[in-house]
Amino acid sequence: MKKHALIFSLALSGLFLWGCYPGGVEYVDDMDVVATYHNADYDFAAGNTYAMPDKIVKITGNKIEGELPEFMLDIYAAPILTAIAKNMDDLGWTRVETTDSAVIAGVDLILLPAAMTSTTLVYYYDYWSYWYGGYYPYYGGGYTTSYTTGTLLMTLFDPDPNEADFGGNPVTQWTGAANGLLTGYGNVSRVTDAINQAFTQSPYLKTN
Amino acid sequence: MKKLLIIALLSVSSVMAFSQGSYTSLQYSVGIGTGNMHDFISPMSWRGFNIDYRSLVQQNVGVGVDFSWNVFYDEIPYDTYTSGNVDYSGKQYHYSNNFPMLVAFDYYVDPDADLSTYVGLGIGTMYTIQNTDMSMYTFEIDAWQFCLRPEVGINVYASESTSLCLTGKYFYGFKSGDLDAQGYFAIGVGLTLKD
Repeated sequence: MKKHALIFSLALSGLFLWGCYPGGVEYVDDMDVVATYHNADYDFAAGNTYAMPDKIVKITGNKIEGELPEFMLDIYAAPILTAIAKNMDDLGWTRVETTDSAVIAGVDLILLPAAMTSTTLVYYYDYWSYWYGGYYPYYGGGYTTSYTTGTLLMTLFDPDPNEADFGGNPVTQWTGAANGLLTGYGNVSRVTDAINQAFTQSPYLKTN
Repeated sequence: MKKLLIIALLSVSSVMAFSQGSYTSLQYSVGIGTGNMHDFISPMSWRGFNIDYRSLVQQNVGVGVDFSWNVFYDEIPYDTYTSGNVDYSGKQYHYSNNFPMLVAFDYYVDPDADLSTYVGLGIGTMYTIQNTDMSMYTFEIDAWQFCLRPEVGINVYASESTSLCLTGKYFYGFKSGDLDAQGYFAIGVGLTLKD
């Protein structure tokens, strides 16, 4: 009898301890992460002009299928582009505002902002019922849930053909990526904070 | 490592055939990391348990097995980390799950006393899983480590066959694969049944 009591206590304590397994993220912005990459051999201080489009392209895959690219709505894109431009300005860069390809080809760096989203579906259902129909479907047919993450990409490359790779393609000299969980509330300060962080952790971008 | 554990378990099983009785103990356990474990996660672990079984091969010598679990957790404030040409910033969440599985030998100083103390040594393996979570990503290292565990304990008898126990164990897992040596103290309180 005592052994049974001990086994029962063991099972109960196990359940209790697993039940209070330490948690992690409490707030959505705890999930935000900023990553930057730079080419350590590239001399950023050698230039001081850059060009940047006034739209943010959405990476959706439709261009691969031969369709026109989609762009982020201006209401969201404008504060993002302003934040990027302010950070570049603070680092000593002068923006050349033009759509003339010949002028763009003459700047020291081109900054391309882009955005992408990714949705993950999570399924819960009585997956065993297809094989063993006699078992009562505990989840009542199951349900799905999902979460969507968003990433803002900022890429700097040098339009000088001498800086291209062997195939003539531009080489990325710096990339900043801000990734987080999308909530649907359009909280733009999370994005601008992430942009500021990307430039703060990239002091080598400073020029004269 | 697993072969050694199986051989040790078989050896212990054969010794237990000459049993003169046994102790079975269940304890709630808290852990305090040392060395590399403390560097990875500094707060105490408040979640853990020990299950100990000893077969008495002599009146004051017990041989048996231990199974334990402790999970350590720490929340690291927002910071920037560098790896080569990549810098990344965010909050990190560190977890370490430790599962020591040992064969154990205890010496009972005065087994018939109402307050019975003992010392012991455990040898075996500790399966450790360490996670560093950042955003939706996790970096995981797991390893089977060779493990040594010295122990001291006190049994306070409430009746002839039931005692309250207080144990102090130090688990030390040696470096294995990508995981550096890990060590922690575990203090357990629980119930021991004597058969």
